[in-house]
Amino acid sequence: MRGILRKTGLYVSVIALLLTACGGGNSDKGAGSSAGSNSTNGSGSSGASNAGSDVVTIEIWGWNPNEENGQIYVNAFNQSHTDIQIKYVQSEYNDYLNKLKLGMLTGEGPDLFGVQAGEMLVQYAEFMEDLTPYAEAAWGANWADRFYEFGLTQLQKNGKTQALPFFMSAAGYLWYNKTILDAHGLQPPATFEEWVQLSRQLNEKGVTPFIQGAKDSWVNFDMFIALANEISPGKIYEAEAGTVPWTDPDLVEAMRYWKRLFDEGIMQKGALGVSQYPDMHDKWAKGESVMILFGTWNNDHMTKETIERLKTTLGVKEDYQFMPLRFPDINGDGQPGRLFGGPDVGWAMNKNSKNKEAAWRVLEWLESEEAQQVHAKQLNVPGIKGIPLDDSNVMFEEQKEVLKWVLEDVDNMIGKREFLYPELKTALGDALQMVAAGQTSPEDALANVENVSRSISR
Amino acid sequence: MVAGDYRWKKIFRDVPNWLYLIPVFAFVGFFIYYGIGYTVYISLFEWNGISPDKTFIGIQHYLQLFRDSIFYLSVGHTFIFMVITIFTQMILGLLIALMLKSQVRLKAVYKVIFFLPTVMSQAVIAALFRQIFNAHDGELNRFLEAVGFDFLALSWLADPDIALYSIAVINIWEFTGFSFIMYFAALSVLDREVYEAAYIEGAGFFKTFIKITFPMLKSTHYSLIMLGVIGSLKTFDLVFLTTGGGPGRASELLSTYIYKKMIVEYNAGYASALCVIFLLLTLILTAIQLRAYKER
Repeated sequence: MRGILRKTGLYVSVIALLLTACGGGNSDKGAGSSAGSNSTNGSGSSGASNAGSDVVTIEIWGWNPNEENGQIYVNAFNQSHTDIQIKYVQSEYNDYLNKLKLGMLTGEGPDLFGVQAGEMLVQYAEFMEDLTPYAEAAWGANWADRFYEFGLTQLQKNGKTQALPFFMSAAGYLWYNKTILDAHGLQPPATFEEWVQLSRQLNEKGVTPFIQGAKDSWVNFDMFIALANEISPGKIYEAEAGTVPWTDPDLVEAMRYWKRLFDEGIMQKGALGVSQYPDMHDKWAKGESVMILFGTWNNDHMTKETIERLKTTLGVKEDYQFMPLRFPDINGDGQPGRLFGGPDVGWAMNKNSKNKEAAWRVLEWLESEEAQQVHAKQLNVPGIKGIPLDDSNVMFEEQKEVLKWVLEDVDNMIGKREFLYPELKTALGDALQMVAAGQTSPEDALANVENVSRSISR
Repeated sequence: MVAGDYRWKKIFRDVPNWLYLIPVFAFVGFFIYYGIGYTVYISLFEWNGISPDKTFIGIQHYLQLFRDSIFYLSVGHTFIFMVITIFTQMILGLLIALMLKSQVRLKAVYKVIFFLPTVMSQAVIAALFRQIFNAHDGELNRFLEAVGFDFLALSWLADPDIALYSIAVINIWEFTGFSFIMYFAALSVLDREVYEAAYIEGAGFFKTFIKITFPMLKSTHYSLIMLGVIGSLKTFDLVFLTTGGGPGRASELLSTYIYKKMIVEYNAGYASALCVIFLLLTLILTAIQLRAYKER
């Protein structure tokens, strides 16, 4: 009897297990913040769902803004709208790429999703709704004038607007600690040779002049693009397009300047083994180095709020005066280097969204003055023009003066920061590291990049 | 009862055994064999891993792979890493186990200290060693400079000649505790009478170790080698979070190369071909080990 009961129980358990495995399962849309929404997760739906009969939930996936800052936008929108609610699902960048890929492949993607200019835009193009008709209807025929040129054009392809810029970022500033420089009676460099000289002086005083997390390819690209654009403005973009070889003498010269950073004591020892974030950022913020290469995304380091946060999280002891410095002059024209960049994050609409009209209303709000003011408060360059940066939280008067020309610099950018071709990025990243490590010469490194460039079908 | 009745009774008696196996077969079949099959299928396509459209290209990826110098480099690095870490961990683990088998105070404390790194998160370990090995102001170089060994203050993770070995050192630090625990457990169950007989015969420590202890630990040796091979082939987090495979591919393993092709370069087809070759290499290594284990 006991045996029969045991066997019966076993048969029932196995059948139940198999039915569970074959069942629909939970279509939970993943971890991250979700706030103020009434969303329900419909199986097989793409993003939006109707919680009650009238409220539409629009799901947005992204890596930036972070969860805390994302909450600001979600709350602001959800409080001012009764028929649409936002659900923002934030993931760290690498996790976000995997999540987005799976979401799009399985048809479980969001209504709106964050994209970067460059290769990401190319790879996800077929999932993006053309936003041009929506923008024209909302803002008129001259709607493009609303945005910074480099912010919008990098999100457009073949006459279609694949995404709209949420906020801008531009690289090419040497951020420096003015407090430390003043303490040693030194000035920030205006030319490359002054940079070398300053580095020697600081090294003699036992102060680290400059640090970089050269393990990370992205920051090496930033430095190389800054060098290349100083030596021959715009040529690097021609090389990316394949109209100029990577072995062009000007690009080889830029690579030689890259090597000089390591050979002449500007770059710290062991730079190739450390990360820019969090390692080198934290050291610079703690005053362990004078200079670092960042961009406009670092503007918040001029605010009281960020300095207080650094004191709490990193044990920073002083109210450091961090300042951006335009890239040192290399070509001798007396002019500093120009910024390069584009949209830090763009918002794209999923072509398979079941609530495109509602998704557009959310996107339109994200590009409104109301939403963009949030960027300005955090000293991020807004995606639309005409919003001044809010300096009410800035610590020093000199920093307020600097903010006046940051927006001009963004409007005067020389080019983009993100390349279109991932294999080219990999080859250039390897080349920069190998030259820095002394494994190869600038000429041979760029010859290898040129080989890869020729294999790309453009 | 006729013979046919007996056969049916036997079949029904075996049914529960098969029911116990179905969940395992279903799990393994779907997650392992279906996954392998799908990877082989994708390796025959030009595909970015996202688009609904794929282009069939046959074995082109495999032909490209066999001309890819970075593939050979990453396989070479993987094998170097494997050999160094497995045998160093085994030697150190055995030495520590032998020491703690002797009359040592605070044995429990030492066991915890040696085993603790094994249970730490790889992300934490990577962050820790990025700082310790920082050539500019890391604790290791500062210590070496303080004791007058400046010439040993190298760029541990930034020098392409030593980056791979530095990562191997981190891995050895992390997993020697596992080897130690395995040997310690094995030593605990060795037959004491054999040692007593050896002592009576006048055998000293080294002779006892070579003639008795080491041979009797053969099962543990083979287990650690097999687990070490699998662990080495799977190593990804540590490399990704310390050097990223650099500088200039100097510490690129096959696992990190596959990641870069799949995720960074959106080349799912080629990455799948790399995965297939990776699987074949794993199967060959496993077959060699099983054969060696059987021959003993």
